[in-house]
Amino acid sequence: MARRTQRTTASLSFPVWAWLVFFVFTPLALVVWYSFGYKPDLFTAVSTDQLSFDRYGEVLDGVFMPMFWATLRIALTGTLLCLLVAVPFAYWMAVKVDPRWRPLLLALVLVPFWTNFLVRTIGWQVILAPSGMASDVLNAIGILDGPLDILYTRGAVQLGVVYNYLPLMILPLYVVFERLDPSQREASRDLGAGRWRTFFSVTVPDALPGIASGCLLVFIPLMGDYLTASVLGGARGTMVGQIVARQFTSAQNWALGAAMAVTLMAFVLLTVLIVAALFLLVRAVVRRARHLDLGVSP
Amino acid sequence: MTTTTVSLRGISKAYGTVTAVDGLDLDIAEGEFLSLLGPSGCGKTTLLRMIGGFEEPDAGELLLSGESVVGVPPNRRAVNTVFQAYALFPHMTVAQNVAYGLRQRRQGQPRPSRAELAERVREALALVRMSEYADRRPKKLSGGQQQRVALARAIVNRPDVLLLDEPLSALDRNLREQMQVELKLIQRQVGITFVFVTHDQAEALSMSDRIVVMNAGHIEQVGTPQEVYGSPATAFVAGFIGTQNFADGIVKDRVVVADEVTYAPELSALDGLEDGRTVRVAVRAEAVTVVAEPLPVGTANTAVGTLAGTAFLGDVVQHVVLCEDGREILARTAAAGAQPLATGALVGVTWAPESVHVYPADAS
Repeated sequence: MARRTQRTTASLSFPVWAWLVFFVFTPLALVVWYSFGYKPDLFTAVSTDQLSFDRYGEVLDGVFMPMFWATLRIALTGTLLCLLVAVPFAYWMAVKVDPRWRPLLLALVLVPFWTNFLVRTIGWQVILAPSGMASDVLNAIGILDGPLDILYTRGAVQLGVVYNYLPLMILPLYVVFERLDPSQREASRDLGAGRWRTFFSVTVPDALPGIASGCLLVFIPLMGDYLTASVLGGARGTMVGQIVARQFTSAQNWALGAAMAVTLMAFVLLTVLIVAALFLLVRAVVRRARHLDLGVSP
Repeated sequence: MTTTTVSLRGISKAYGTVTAVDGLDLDIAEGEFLSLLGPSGCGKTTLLRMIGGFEEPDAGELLLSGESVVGVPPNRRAVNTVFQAYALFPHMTVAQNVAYGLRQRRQGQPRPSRAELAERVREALALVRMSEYADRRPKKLSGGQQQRVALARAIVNRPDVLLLDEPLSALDRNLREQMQVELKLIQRQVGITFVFVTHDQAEALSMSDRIVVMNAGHIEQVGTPQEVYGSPATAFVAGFIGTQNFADGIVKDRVVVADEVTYAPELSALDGLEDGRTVRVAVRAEAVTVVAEPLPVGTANTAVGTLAGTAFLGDVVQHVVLCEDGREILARTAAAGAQPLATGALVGVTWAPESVHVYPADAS
């Protein structure tokens, strides 16, 4: 009986592991394999008849590292900005808005996804252009004198990534805020805590899983993004994803590109681990401060 | 003369077109255990939430210890609440949950020192006999234990009033009865005014100093459990508390005639009810006795019928007697002294004049 159940479970999960094997592990293994190869001649993208770590040396010595730091800055700032915008918005949507209007608001959050990522980003190019809408508006209200000089800068990329990834932050936050028991907030108010104190002591700790998944959903794809930077960044706002893509497309050096991709993955993973460790440290400090020794328990 | 802790004057609250509380007046005395009893939707929870500060009344005045608190947020009221689903903070231990209220900044009060904090949390946990669970998380506790922690968390601030929103409804029966006794003992011990919302009449009767019976946003009766049970002021109260036999009849020569049955209440019960007035009479099932020999038809406070069924309810036995006019009369007697009666037998039922309550028919 138990055996049968096991077999059923295994067959039911076939799509999952098939997907993992064919679309995650195999390509990943190929990328890792290529990263040890080299580019033999002008017309061949990769060869693996001689394996070495040389490509990794090239990656760490070349333009990759400064690019990586610049991208990390954009990604961390972008994730933080998304969080700052999404928390009040998701909270308002999940708690304050009449439940009848929530599906509509949710649909509005998702509307940008109905349009192609590239088209949306080009839309920003039009808006941010020196003769574009943003420039006209800022000039009209007197904040700016002369054309807006933001397109093809890091600022434009920053704006673009916040715009492109914001829904990915709002959705998980909305889900956790919506699931929170309102009587928990009431209990906190009832016990003498004000609105802000209630938010930070009761709502945020309960919403942590959502905050974490939102941050990962924004940060990880953002680190690999090259479209936003290609469209809005120009020469002054390039991201590491662009130089990885360039190795696979124009430069046709798959070995170097693969080594860059693997390095980027490792660094992203490292960044996530460092942030998680910092978070755990802060939490331990907070817990220690809040700990109450009654002197009764063993 | 007792001091009034909570004073409600003409309190009204509506949600859209639905009136939840309708011009209600009530004084709650210091240190009393007051129950708000009524069916769901009668406005009892809305009333509680207004005292707690979670809802604002549309009209009327709400005084806490003599001061108006209309517009004052919950964190500035000396009122604490035990919520229906306990609402314990899952990411804090039991001790931290209880300490939460003490750690908040209050006007004119210094924050307690760590030692004082620990002392008061320890006291509160000891009061609800949860000391050994201080370092557990709420998720690891049973419903009854969570209930105790919620109670400790609410009384640790020594509020003027403690509000309890059907706190026992999620517990199973045995635990509920045990907690009823315990709640009452704790209330005596701390001397805090308890306002207890329930739809369970047995719960209200067993715990309260006074019961407020509510219906459709207004008060039907305020009184001690004995008063509310023994002399229900309205047909609604009579019907809500205990099992009643209702009959509609007409006042005639100082008795009430309802088809074949004549109800002869004590004369004072008919004061102000002139002959010909339609009334509703109520006789509690406990007040009805079944006798094996049918009585002569027409005798006051008796009826004749066949025994349709007998249900054994543990401590009591409930007989259902079907009269010839189709009316059902319920009779409850202590199981110990009940005489065996055959189903289908012709029996008589009888009740005492003082057990007959009369209500003007238009007022229900």
